[in-house]
Amino acid sequence: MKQTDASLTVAIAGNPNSGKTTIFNNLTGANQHVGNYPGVTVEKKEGWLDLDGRRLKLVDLPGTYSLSAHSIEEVVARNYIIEQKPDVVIDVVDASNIERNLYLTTQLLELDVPVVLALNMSDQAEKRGIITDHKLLSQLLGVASVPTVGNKKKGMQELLKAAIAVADNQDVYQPFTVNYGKEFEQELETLTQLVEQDNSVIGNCPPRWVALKLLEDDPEVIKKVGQQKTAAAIFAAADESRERLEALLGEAPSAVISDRRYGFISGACSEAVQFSGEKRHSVSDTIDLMLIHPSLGLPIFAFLMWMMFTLTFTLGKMPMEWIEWGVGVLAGFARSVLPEGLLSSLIVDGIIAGVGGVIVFLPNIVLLFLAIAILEDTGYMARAAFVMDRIMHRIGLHGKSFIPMLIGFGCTVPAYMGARIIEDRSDRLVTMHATGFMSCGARLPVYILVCGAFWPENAGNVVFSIYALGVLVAVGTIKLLRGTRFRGMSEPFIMELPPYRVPTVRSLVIHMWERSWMYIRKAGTIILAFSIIMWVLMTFPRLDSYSQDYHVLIDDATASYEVGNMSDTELDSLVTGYESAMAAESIRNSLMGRFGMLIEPAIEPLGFDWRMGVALISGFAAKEVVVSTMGTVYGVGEVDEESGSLRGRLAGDPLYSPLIAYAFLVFVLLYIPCMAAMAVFLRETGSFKELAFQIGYTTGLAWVMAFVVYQGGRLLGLD
Amino acid sequence: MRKRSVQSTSGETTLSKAQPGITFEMIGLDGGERMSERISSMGLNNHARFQVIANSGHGPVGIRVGWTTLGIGRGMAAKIRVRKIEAD
Repeated sequence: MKQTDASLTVAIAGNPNSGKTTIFNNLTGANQHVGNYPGVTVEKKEGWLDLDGRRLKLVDLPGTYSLSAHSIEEVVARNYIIEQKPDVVIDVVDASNIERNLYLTTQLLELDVPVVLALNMSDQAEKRGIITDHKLLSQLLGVASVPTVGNKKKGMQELLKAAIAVADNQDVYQPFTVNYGKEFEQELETLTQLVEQDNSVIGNCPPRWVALKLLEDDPEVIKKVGQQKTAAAIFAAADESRERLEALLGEAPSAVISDRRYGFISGACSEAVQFSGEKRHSVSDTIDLMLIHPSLGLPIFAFLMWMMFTLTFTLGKMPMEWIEWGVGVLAGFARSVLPEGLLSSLIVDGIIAGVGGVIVFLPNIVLLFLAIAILEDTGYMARAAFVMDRIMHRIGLHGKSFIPMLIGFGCTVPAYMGARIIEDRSDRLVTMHATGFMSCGARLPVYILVCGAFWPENAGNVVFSIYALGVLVAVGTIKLLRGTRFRGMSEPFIMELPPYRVPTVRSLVIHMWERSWMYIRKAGTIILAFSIIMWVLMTFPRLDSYSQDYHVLIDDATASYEVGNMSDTELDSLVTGYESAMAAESIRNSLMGRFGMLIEPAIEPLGFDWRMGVALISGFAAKEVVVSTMGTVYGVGEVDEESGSLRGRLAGDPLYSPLIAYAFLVFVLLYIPCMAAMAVFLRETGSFKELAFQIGYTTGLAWVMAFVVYQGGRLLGLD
Repeated sequence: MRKRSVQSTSGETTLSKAQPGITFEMIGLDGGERMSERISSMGLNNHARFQVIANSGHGPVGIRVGWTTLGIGRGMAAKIRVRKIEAD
């Protein structure tokens, strides 16, 4: 669909790490919208800007090396260009690695779309002794080009002007296309004519491009052409052409195609680009000698991971305390201005306690995402995948799968999304099924609370053992799935190790903010809603009479205090005791309590009682909620994991033992990831079957493992 | 790019067996169209010259082709035929 002249659609294409997104951010500023391409899970970034009275809609296409059909990103990028027909495509080319980047350009030109080149990182290129005569390059390729330095915002206005001129058909260039050699071109010509005769389905695609893709055996194009009446004739002709070419040239057509493309590129570059650098070594190479070193690589990686977690939790401590204080002040204020009753209870015990208990982890989440953004933006993440490939390969996946699993330590939601980098569907599914076991940040508060109660001296080691168990279960899961549901070897591993870069503050902030915002939104929506639901379920039906008249008991105690028979602390503890006993009784009677009692037989073999059952069920909303629910069920009112009173209640409860507590932690680690994660899982896999498997497998495994821990421990006399 | 005289006397091998620190030329691929397109789009095509920067005999192979550094899994590297060009 062609836009009116007043507004233009500008698509931005380019290789990964070419600085595409930086340019997109420069041009659109805050006017961005992040969504998904219809039907697939590739992130779609759109933005807009107004220039000289015209509105420009910018679309950041996924970064790709090619426009074949080998990954979702490539299909998405090329379908967008073919179907949406943008007025102009800005092709961001890393000028410091120009030949490889122009490979994509040759394919854009074959799609018959107006293109303007952004020769990005031209400062870096000059440092490397690569000087591009961009005017000459434009003449040779037949496309306008503009030198830019994205991270210094240089050349942005010129780029926009050039793009608009191209869109308005005012530029002087006529695009060249690659000549694939006499014999090849003859076959291509014959096939093109055949394709042109019937364009009922492939209407939008240039016929020559379709013919070329048929010679390349492109599955997507074959599928499309297959829907046409003339399909049989076209396929027969394509097969014949392919055979003739293979016999004649001694190579598969796709090898010839890439050879000729690079030939065309190096022809253009030999005239327009001066390579004066003597050797192609760089600082990156020197760093890589260490970081991907066969024996140093792994210890360095392990050290960086340890640093990441340590910093996340130590630096996060202080701001967490501020937030806790703030939540406390807010709750106190609400209690003081609202009349005592249901409304006050809903707001203080339901909403403020529920949402506050979750928001308190924001500092940890922000820091963890900052650390992950640093690892990504510096280029280290790809090295981590490289280093881990050896180990991951042994369990049946490749190094790339490690990245989503690593992000899973932060939050399972972005981790599932991070699995997009894995091209092969079964590799991706196996990775996603295992990712949920990487203990996410939201499970940590539960560990802290329980460990603080049962192993105050040894909490750190116990928490570590739970994390380690998660990793082991993930590994076991991968092996199991590779041997059963997803047999066969993983897709070959190939990954670019991008040059090391000092990340820009702006990009780190954007990365961090996007992900943290997701977390805040979760707190404001799902967790808010669930806090209210949980409060309702735990408040109604209301209990009219208690086993004892607590109000009278409290009045008696107060009276006895007033006549001096009791100290301040004695009164406090007595009153708190009565209040929590009261709350516990009313929860027992509530819907949630009854439900917990109903399921108690199922969790009894694990050593859990109905209260733990209730807490676990509420954890499906978000794992952090387990903590706030426990606070309510144990009748200690508003709690967080630092809460001394809840900790005391747990430790002092004769029904519980360290063994039960550990079985509980194992269950929390392994059972179904939260609602938000499951929604993303469904969106990413598009399969209810996989979702059902994920839910059943995780929860089933949690039950079995907790059972083994509890019953095994009892046999060993640990109870 | 200046190149020293090509010594093609040394035999062919596969990338999985290529020693680090040495320059090689890719001469062929025992893989499908899909793999061929994939590696060439990332900068490693037939006749491309590259240095091996990491190959310990286990795990992936690291290569430097032009200004691109690639990590290539061992299985894939075993399918890439190469010829030694020069010692560094």
